[in-house]
Amino acid sequence: MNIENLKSQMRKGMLEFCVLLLLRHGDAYASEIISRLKEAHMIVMEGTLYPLLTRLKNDGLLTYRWEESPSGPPRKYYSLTPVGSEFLQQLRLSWQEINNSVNHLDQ
Amino acid sequence: MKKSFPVNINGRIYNIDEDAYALLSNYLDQLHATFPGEEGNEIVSDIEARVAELFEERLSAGSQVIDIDDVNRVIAIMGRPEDLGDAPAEEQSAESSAQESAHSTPPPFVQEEHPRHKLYRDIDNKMMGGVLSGVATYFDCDPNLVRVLMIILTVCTAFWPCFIGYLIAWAVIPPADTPRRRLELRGEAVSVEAVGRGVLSSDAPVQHRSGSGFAGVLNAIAKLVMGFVGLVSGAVGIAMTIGILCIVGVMIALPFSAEISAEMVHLFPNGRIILVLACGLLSCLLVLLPCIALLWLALYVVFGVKGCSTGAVVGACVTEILIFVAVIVLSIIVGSGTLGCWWWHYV
Repeated sequence: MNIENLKSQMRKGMLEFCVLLLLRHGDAYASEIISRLKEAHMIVMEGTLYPLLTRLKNDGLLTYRWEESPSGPPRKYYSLTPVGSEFLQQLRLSWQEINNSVNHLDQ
Repeated sequence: MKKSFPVNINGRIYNIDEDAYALLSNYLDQLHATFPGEEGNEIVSDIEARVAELFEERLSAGSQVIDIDDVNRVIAIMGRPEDLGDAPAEEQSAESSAQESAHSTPPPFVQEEHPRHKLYRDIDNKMMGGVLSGVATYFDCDPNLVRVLMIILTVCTAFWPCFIGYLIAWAVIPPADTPRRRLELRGEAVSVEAVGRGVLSSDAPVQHRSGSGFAGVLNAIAKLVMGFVGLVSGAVGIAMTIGILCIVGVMIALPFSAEISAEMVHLFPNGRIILVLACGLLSCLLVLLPCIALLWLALYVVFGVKGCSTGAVVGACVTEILIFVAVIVLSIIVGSGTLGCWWWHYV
């Protein structure tokens, strides 16, 4: 059992949830999402985010629009869809449950 | 000093060093291999956009050109393809029990313990087209050994089959002209690190153990035999070309000589004489083409004249085959018609 491996697995499992949480407060483009996730120490390799965003989008949880940027080429702004909000609610509930369970066992 | 040139990444122009470009384009190639299909294209183009952003930061810090360190830094930030490919693979295995997935995950990139060799022409160690050198590297043996064996085989099989085989191999086998192909030829795993190494070492291609005693002797023998082959093929090529041109001249002159022409028209009536002449001329062309190839080979081996392009070789082969078919068809037409005529005449 490799502790580092297990830790990164746990983080990876939470990544989708975190991205959805983050978009709840408003739309963002990939680099913003990355810098927020980095602030929260949730992501090490940036490249892992892109397949994840594309998957969430293809599953109908996210949608995106192109927006001009003050500098450089247009950016993809991601936002939650209604399905995504619903999904997020369920994830939050389930996170609460897990959190409670772990806390319960921890005491 | 390094060569650098502008590239377009996500709609913006960046000046990038040649080696940095090779590494970056290999990285993107590997990403494409990791993320296949429509979805993969989208992912890679998003990553490309991010790479451009990171370059932008670098340039706004005062840098003029993207160098290999910048690319390595970006790859470190983004993650190596094998690490990125991991995530969907795990998720897929978790999902696949629940639902049968239409897009099955490709096997994770570069996970093979012993990556397979791929056959390319080794143009770094070539003598002519790099075919034999490529074959040698493919089988992990000395190119000179393969060359000597090939020459012995060529002499034993009366030259032509091996010569034509070599030309076809030259045309068909792609050259190892990118770091990725060089690694695949040597059977090394194509990882970003290895590609980076390959990129860096491609400035000074690895010389094939040519210094040591036995290999040196083989090398000398190979050069000597190549020179001999060059001289012989040159002599044969010149002689045959002159011979063929004489025959063509005679054939063109034939119709103008009244006596012979009357005789021939008698032999091949009903204007069939034209077909006979066409057939003869085409036959000459059929032999002339390989003669020219032979001459070129001789010039190439002896004087180091530039080799011809793959397209030219393919074109020549196709032309040769077309002429061959045309000659056969003409012969059949002329032959059957003429035999029929003679049969009517004499029976």
